[in-house]
Amino acid sequence: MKPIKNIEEITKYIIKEAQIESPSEDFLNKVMNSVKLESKLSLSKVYQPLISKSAWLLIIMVFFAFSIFMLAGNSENSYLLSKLNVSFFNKITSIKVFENISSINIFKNIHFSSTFTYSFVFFSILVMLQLLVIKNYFNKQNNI
Amino acid sequence: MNTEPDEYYIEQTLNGNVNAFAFLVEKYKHMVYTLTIRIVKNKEEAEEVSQDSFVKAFKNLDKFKGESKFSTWIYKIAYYASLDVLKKNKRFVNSENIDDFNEGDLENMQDALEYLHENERKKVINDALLRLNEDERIILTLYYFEELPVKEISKVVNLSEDNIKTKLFRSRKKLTTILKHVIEPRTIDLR
Repeated sequence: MKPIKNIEEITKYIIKEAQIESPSEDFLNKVMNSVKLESKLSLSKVYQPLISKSAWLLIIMVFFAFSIFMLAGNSENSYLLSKLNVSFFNKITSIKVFENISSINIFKNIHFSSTFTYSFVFFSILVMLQLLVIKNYFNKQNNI
Repeated sequence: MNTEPDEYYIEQTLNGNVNAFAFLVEKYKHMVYTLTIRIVKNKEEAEEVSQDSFVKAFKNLDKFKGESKFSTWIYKIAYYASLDVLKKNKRFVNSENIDDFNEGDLENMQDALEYLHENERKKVINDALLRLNEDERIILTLYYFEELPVKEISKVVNLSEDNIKTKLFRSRKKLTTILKHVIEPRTIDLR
């Protein structure tokens, strides 16, 4: 029996003699073309949100202003306003036109049955769930 | 050409200098291609798998944490991509079950191999290598050609270090036995 060291040496010799294989000449070019295409794709994949941050801020501000206005309009002696004591709003609400507007309740004559309300809420939840699932699906696809 | 360590090119690539990645491709393309061709056994497929491996590495470069060497990481990607190709084509070949390990006349083997022309010697050895299991071929190549330590090889093929050592021991014997069977008739013919 030869010592194991010998079989190590011969294996090393054999594997070195097997040499290394070389890919085609334009291998580097092909890889780099794919890589560049990939980096372009990944750049274009950076999605811009549909509504920018400043637009969201504006929407929130308008929403709050509107809700405060509605609150103030609905009852001049509302708890919130008496606490805030916003003279500006008091002035607005004291103007007759605004008083008239605020007294118009456009939803007064619209009544929804409870079945409709429940089904509407239920379907809204389903739509939200679908949105989440679809968003996840596309996110996963883009990551591959 | 490239004297900087791999980390330099990785960082450059991550910073948006895509061309820096070319240095890494150039450095590792031969070994990646050698590993893939030794598994898929087909030039065109090996080339495709090697390219895909580099592109995959580029896409996931930000996930490369540097816990292992870049070479280990890219070899691992190439190894699994090659195995996937085999799985897809259901081309796993059972390697030969060689039981008659005989280390008797190893010293003649080198002489016999040296006697062959370089190209023929390469072909004989590669044919013998292809008669081993996929993982045995890769382990032998990484250990004896690339001279990677067992620890790094265990990361590439996802096997324990002890398992690698056992496989090294077995595949050494297998390879020399196969070669002995191939060479002996040839050398007799040559005389």
